[in-house]
Amino acid sequence: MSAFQAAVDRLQARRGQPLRSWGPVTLDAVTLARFHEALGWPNPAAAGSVPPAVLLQLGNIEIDVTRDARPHEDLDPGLTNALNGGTALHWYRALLPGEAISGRSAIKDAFLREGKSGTSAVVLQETVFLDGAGEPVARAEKTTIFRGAVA
Amino acid sequence: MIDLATAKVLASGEVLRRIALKPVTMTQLAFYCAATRVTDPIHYDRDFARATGFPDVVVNGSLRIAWLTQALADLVAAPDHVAALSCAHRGPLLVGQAMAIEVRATAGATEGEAGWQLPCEVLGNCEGKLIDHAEGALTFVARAA
Repeated sequence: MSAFQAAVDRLQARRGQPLRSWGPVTLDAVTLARFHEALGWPNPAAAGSVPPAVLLQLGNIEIDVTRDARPHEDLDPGLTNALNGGTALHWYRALLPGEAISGRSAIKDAFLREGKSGTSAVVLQETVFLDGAGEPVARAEKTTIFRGAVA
Repeated sequence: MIDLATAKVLASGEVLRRIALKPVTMTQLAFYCAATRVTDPIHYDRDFARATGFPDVVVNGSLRIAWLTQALADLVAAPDHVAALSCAHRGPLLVGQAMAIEVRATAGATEGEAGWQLPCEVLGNCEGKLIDHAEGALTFVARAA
């Protein structure tokens, strides 16, 4: 069995199991100011609002860690050379200042892909964002493509 | 800002907004990595980025998505909101480079299960090249008469 297949099998066995849970985090003035600062958006009128992409701050969706930096946060020790395969975000309603958001993420799917440059493993992670009543307010799906695998 | 009456009559390809961002600085990337707890050195360590084959530090993909999302969000006021954004990156954006964003309607707003939605296309360009292509949507919430 190839190292790619072994890694995909391990990830598929973890489908649906929580990767991480967090929160609740309150969309307070400091949290929003920090995100606006990080965003560097030139429209000052947006400063009083809740930027929908603040979910990216709350949920740490961008799991683009390298083995050198945080190996304990690797999705799978056998997969290397990650590439950002895209992100899809969905909001069910506008986020409100002061509300508390929590979230949980899980592996949605993992599969092999054969392309011109060889084999790669594609991993889909889904994060669901919940409000204080436990109702979903948004979800995010992140695709990571791993171009390397080690046994 | 767009209201529902306007959204219903928009034509495919109609440009809703153009915005040119300033060149990205290392400080901004440091703030963003801190806010989002990203630790990948490719986003703040020049030597590391160059060792991986990039000419300079790479701007986070999620920061680019945040910009595209905000370009959409600026078009409406709560409770109207951004309903979706799905983005594929087509090229890197490096520190010192600037992104220009264009939002276009892809059709007029139509009513569905989720209410009235306006489908949009959000494009991110850098130095004349398309580096981000996103499909998005805005939801318009029915108000009481």
